[in-house]
Parts: sequence; C-alpha cells; structure tokens
Amino acid sequence: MPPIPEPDASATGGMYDVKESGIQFRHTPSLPTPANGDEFLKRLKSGFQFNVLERPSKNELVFEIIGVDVSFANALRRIMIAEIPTMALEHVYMWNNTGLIHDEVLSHRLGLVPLNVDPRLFDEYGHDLDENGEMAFTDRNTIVFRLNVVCGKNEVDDEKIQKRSNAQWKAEGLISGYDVEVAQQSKKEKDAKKKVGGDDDGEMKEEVEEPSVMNLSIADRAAADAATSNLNKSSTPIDTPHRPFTKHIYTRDLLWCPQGEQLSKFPLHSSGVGSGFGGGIRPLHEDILLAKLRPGQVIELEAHARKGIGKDHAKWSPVATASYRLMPSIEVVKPIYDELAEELVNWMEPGVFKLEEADEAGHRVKAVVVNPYACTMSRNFMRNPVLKESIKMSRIPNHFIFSVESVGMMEPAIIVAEALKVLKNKASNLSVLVDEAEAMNE
Amino acid sequence: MSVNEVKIKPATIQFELRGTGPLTSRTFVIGDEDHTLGNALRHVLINDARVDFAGYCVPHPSEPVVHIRVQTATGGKDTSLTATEAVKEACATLEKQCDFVMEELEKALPEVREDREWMERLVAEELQQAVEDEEEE
Repeated sequence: MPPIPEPDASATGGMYDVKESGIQFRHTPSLPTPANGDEFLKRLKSGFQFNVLERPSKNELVFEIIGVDVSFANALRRIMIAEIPTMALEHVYMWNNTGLIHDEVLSHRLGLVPLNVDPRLFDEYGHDLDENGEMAFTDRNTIVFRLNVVCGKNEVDDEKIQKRSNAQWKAEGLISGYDVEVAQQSKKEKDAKKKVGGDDDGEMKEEVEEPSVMNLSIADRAAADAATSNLNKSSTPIDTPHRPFTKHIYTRDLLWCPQGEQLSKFPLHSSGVGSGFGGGIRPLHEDILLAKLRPGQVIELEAHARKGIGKDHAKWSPVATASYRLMPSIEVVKPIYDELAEELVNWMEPGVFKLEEADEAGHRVKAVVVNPYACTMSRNFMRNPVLKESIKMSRIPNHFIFSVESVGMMEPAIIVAEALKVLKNKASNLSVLVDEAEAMNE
Repeated sequence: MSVNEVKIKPATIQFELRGTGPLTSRTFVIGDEDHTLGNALRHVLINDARVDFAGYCVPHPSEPVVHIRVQTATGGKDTSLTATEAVKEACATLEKQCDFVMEELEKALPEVREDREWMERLVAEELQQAVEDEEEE
C-alpha cells in the first residue's frame, strides 16, 4: 500500500468540500503567481509525484499523478481516448455477400475488430504519393485482410469445404493467424486437464495478501477471469432437431494477405504483441462473431486497414477507456468510537476505515482512516446526523488517480507515453505556427 | 477512391493571429484543436505573472476551432512581453512539462524506457537501410 500523500494546501489553492448536495470549492491561501515559465516548472517539480498503484491485468494500469493541474490531466485523458493513432480496418471491398448480414453492417463490424499490431510501425496515409499525386496504398501504410467463407449443406460438407479452402489459401500465401486445428487441439488438452484437476481445487483462488488499492473485490476478479477465459465458449450451434446447419464466422476466419515486406517485418513464428497461437498480423481476439451463414451462402471480401485516430472514428481508439478521478480526502473531525465506529465501517466502502483500539479511556474501539483510495464518495454516512458532523469528505484538486484500460494492441503504459508525446507535438506545432504568422505579419 | 468515401478535411483556418493595436493583446485562432490544447495552454499562461489576461473558448462545438486570448498590457518597460512571445513561452513550458512527466513515467515504469529505446533503434535501422539503398542506386 503506498503511503497516503498529504495534500499541499498552498499548491492546490483550495479543496473541494463534499457537502450533502453538491461540491463546494474552499479557497486556501496560495502562493503568488509564478514569475515566469521556469518558476512554474520549478513549483511543479517540487510537488510532483508519479506512482503506479495497481496493475490488475496486462491491459489495465492504475496510477496516480500528484501536482499537475486538472487541465493537464484532462488533456492526457482526452488524447488517450481520441488522438493516439491505431490501425483498424477501413476500406472493405465486398465481392460477394449472399449472407443475411448487410454489406455495410458487416463492414462496420469488421472495422470494430481490434488488430494485434503496434500502430507505430506503420505510416499514416497521405505521405506517399503515387504518379498521379494521389495517396498511395503501400505496404507501409496498409494491412490487407481477406474473408472468404462458404457455408456447406451440413457439418460434414462444411468441414470438407473448410479443408479444401484452407489448402487453397495456404497455396496462395494468405495466412490465418490462428490455425483452427491447433486451437481446437489445445482447447481439448486444456479441457482434459481441467477434468483431471477439477476435484482437487474446491475453493476459488482468493489469496488476497494486500487489499487492492481500488478495492477490487473477489467478485470483481472472478468476473474478470470469467470474461477473459475462452474455455467455456464453444463454436457449435444450438442443437435443435431439423435446424439447418448454421456456420458462424469468427475473426479467426480473417486471413492476412501479407504485402511487400510485411512478411519479413512481421514474421509468422514470432509471438509479437500480445502473443497468441500464431504469428504475423492478426486480430487481437479470435472469437469475435462477425456473421452467421446458412447453407449455400458466401462471403468474399477484402478489407484494408489503415492508421487513424479516435477523433475520426471510435474504432481507432487504443483504450477501452481512460479515466481519472480526484483523490478523496477523509478527515475525522470528531473522533468516532464504539457502535458509531462499527456503523461507519459498514456504511463506508470496505477498506476505507478500520477499527482500532481506542487509547482514550471509556471507549473500546475507534475508527481510523486507512485507505482513502477505496472511497468512492458515496455520502452514505451522512444518513446518520452524528456521523455527518464528525466526518469531512473532500477532494484534493491536484491529485489524480488514472485508470487506463487498453484494448490490447499497445500496453497501457505505452499509451500514456504516447499521449505525452502527442501533447508535446501539439505545443511545438503551435509554436511553429505562431512563428510563421509573426514572420508573415512583418 | 469510392463514391461514398468521407474525406477528413482539415479545419478552414489552420492558424490566425487576430488583433490590431498594441502587440500586447492578441487572439490566437487555432484550427483542428479543442479543449485538449486550449485549456492546458491557458493554464500555463495564467501561471505567468507577466500575463494579465488569458482565456480560451471553443466558439461552437461543431467546429474544431479554439480561440486563445492573451493580454500582457500592463507591466514595466523591463518586464514587457508581447502576446506572441507569451504564447511561445507557454508552449515551451508545456513541452518541458510533458518531458518532465515522461521522465517520471519512465522512472516508475522501466518498460516505457525500454520501449522508447527499441523504437529509436528501429528508426535508426530504417534510416541506415534507406541510406544504404540510396548508395546502391
């Protein structure tokens, strides 16, 4: 548990007091305005802290920044969501679609499929121009995928068609990042292992040595595990009698068509970013349902991926979400003992308060603030008028707890670094523009 | 490309410096920007004792334009600052702030530094490749 930092009242300029209805800003005497940029930076550096609080999984990062202003933190958050370039499918050339899903709906779904490729290894459109002066699609700025699926009359027929087409695609050089056979093989192995060891582990793994800062309870963690595990998902359709065979098209059916030097840059047998079974460039998740086909229906399309930013379309956003909250500060104005303390511990979010032995005579236990990070400002304690007077809850205006959850193509720490670079570029571009404008006016 | 393609158009005004009169008050009209840069820059400008007035606005949410108004009217002859100088200094300060936060980030998470070094190596290799290709030609 990181030590709870004390708020520096002169640096923040005030505190946000949480009242029964609403929040009030209470000014505290602050230092005079810095004389120039250097002094501003000096003050910033003296009170600055950057701590990683928690990393619940590979794609999530919880960290805190102390000492910056809300405008800077908000700028970082906005950039993480909307202005970090990513690769996603954009142009879909539909050659044949006799399935039930409309062309545009299928293209929309394809666009939202996250790709397992580091976007910084690709260029943006518009830099390479071909002979006519128009944007060129080169192997440095486009990834080509193909989807060619036919639904057979029944399961057996479908498997035959699948085998034939797999051989055909391999011959043509198309690559499926996920070898379906390999995937199903290892799934069978995992299932077998689970059956053997199922009797041994009776209890869920609940070794919680330290209460997590964000207070992820056991239930949350179990939900997260269930969401990420693919073992329960099966690709066989519902088994009702006389139901015609339905073929489910998953992202694993998307075939990568390596262009130019892409095969050497993204070799097949490397695990790359976020390793899976296969290699090369592939979607992050192999089991995203794209479409369903009935016997005789065909989908043939070619999809091109390009670089874009979240401002243009949300499919290009590299984060599931990035958010921040201000650090709560809980002050016990009048000491709380015994039954009142026990009531408080129950009413506040678990982990915030702890009952400690009271030093004062005549009282058994008292409530002590242990983990303000877990507080979510529920104002529950205000239901008791005595507690309402004894506790002051407020927010510290320059202490931000960021929570960044990445989609998977870049690690959340890298996304934060990229956001800082983007903000720096904005400032330097503006500086250049101001210089040019000044030169023009003279 | 295709008939239905939506081309992303840059804003009509990329940058404009508005304001006649003394050099100490200017409005900076920046296209393709929004609260992200506007608020951050305004905060840096406000925290400069030589700047009297600093404010920003987004005139209409549908247009990606931000106006930043800076006035440094009063002040002795020694500490006078034109509006454009104030904005340039604020940009420099913002860049230094980003650099500093990046350093702290790398201290807290060494994988960020490793990633940055890996990227730099890649870029250097590509440059070398390009140079070699040109020499061959």
